[in-house]
Amino acid sequence: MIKIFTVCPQGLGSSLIAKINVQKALEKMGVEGEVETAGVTSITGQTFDLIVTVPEMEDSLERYKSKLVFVTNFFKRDEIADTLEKKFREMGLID
Amino acid sequence: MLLTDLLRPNLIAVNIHVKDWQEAVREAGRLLVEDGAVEPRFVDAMIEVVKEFGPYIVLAPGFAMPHAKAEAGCIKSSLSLITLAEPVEFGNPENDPVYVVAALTAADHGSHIEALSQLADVLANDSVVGEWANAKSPEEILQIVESYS
Repeated sequence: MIKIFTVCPQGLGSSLIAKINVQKALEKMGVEGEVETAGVTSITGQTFDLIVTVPEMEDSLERYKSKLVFVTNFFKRDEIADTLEKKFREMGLID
Repeated sequence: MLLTDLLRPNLIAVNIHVKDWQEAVREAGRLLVEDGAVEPRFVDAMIEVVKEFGPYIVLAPGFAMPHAKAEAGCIKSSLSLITLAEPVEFGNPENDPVYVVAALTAADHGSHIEALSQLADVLANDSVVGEWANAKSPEEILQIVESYS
């Protein structure tokens, strides 16, 4: 079970769209995961495997660098799926 | 709550003239204020978010979704949508210029999820933003939503 947070500054608009599309991507890949949304501040103290976010958040989330995955388009399910698949391979979660 | 519960006909306007991104956010926000969905200060809050965090709200090519926290003056969960007569730059290298601005206000973290999920389904089709940009009336915007739902 992989735990993913989708993060935007406020944790209610873009991160929610991201969550929906990350869930679809996981289903498509057959990877079991839990996806939650968070704001930049509410992520503190949480445990997780990955953060999916936008490039603008890079500085605010620098301390999680190795766990960050960036997407430029929250509505592009294929792009999200490809990006995640690459990261999962890197992490050794899938073959 | 469905997408059409958030995106009501009086919250849609087409072919709006604006000179920059701030005015675009204000116009989309004005529809929310006139509807009684937000207090006027919510509109300022949406602009402040972009100033503070950058143009991350341009979520897809041509499409921006400004929003702010419920505490910034949300009265009821709603989505307004305007199409721009001339596109504006938000400063997002990947997704500028913007033709469609949809301002979101959510009263809590739960009730708008189904509606946003539906919006995500609609916008998963690359052609939708372009179709919205060319729509001649609010009714046509809703018909496009309907055709992809």
